[in-house]
Amino acid sequence: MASRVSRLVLAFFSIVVLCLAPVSRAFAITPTFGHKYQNGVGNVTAWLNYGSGVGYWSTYITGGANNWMYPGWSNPIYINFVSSNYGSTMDFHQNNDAYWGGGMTILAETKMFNSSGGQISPTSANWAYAEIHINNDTFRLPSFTNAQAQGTVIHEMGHAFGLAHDQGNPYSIMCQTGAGRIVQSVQKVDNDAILTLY
Amino acid sequence: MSKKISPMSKARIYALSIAVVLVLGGVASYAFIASKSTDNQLAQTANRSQSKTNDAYASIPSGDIQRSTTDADILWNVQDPYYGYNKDPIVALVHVDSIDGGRIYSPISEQYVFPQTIGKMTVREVYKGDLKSGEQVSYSRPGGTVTSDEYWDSLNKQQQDKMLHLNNGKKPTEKKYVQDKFTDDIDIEAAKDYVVFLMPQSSKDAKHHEYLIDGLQYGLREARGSGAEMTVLNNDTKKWESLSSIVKLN
Repeated sequence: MASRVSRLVLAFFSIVVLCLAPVSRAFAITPTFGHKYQNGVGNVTAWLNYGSGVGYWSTYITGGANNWMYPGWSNPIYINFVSSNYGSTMDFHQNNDAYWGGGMTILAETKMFNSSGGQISPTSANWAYAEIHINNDTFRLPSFTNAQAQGTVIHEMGHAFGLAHDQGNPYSIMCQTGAGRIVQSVQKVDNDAILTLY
Repeated sequence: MSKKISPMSKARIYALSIAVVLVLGGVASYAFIASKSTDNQLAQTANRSQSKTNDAYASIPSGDIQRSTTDADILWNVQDPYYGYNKDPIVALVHVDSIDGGRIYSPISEQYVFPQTIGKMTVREVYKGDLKSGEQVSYSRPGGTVTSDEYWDSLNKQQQDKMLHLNNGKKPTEKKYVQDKFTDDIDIEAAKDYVVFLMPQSSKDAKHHEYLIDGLQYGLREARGSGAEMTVLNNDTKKWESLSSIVKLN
């Protein structure tokens, strides 16, 4: 009788392990650039270039900031909105599609800069501040949903923090829209990546 | 007076003749292979020198370039192999004749843009849209190298003010040139053949006409071979795939 019970228990655990195997594969931590904000993410100061028109998307920007600060798992991110870009570390600008060539392909982009304003590659150095540029024309496409717009802003903020693309995991906010991202908010794999960096 | 040749001598003559034929054949084959190999080497050297001669970037010393990358979220659907084919009005096989350099002010949109690479390409075959084989046209593509002064001019006032503030009133001048391209994107190369997804563009005054190579690395596929044997490079997997994997063939 005891041996029958232990066999049943063993079978149960085997099934659980087999079920969890593919799930755990999908939950691999989001890759990072290997570099990060040089002053950490405990006091990120966000600034909106209202002159560029990016204020139109402020709901998504504040929504994105809240999602990164309170994703459901703890992390050290705190984002404070400021009125001057002189000391800000996350600047938002808006451009039209012609800025990216006019192919209606780019949704938004993130660039990183060192402390003297030189643009750098995030795979080779830490950065003092980041710029996020939103494509006003693709954001206004009727086929581009509010959820996708929100997800894109969160995706770009993830780059600013140091997260790279994760094209193989549609359940990461760092999977590109074009690569089939399904989720539009910070996931545990993304939050775990932040914890490895800061 | 005729001299009789002995059977032994006949055998020697035959053997000698066969040896001569074999030696001559070998020499001829070697000469043919050597000339072919020399032709190939000459062609490769010519291609290399053509690609260097026709690449304006090649004259910029590498140490003079501030290299940066930009991360983007793009509106493309890599799950649909024909997304680019359906999206863009022109799909063609082209030969890149030249890379004429980078620019950050577009005469097409008459505004500052993300750095672009521009040049000339010759159309080899058209799979979709209004272009003619043999025609040489101008192209543009996001991602390029421009002078630091041009880069500075392209920034909006708020960006410039911030940089001046960070540098005690001076422009950041780390290098003579700035290269900005999208992370994971590939570089276009002169003297190579590509299958490209194109958007025709003209300036308002119709003085400038060119073709935007769309879709970043998804819209620029190096091509090999010809006809039904043609393969295109998948820039993600680095595998060569059949043309029909991205182009709808009738």
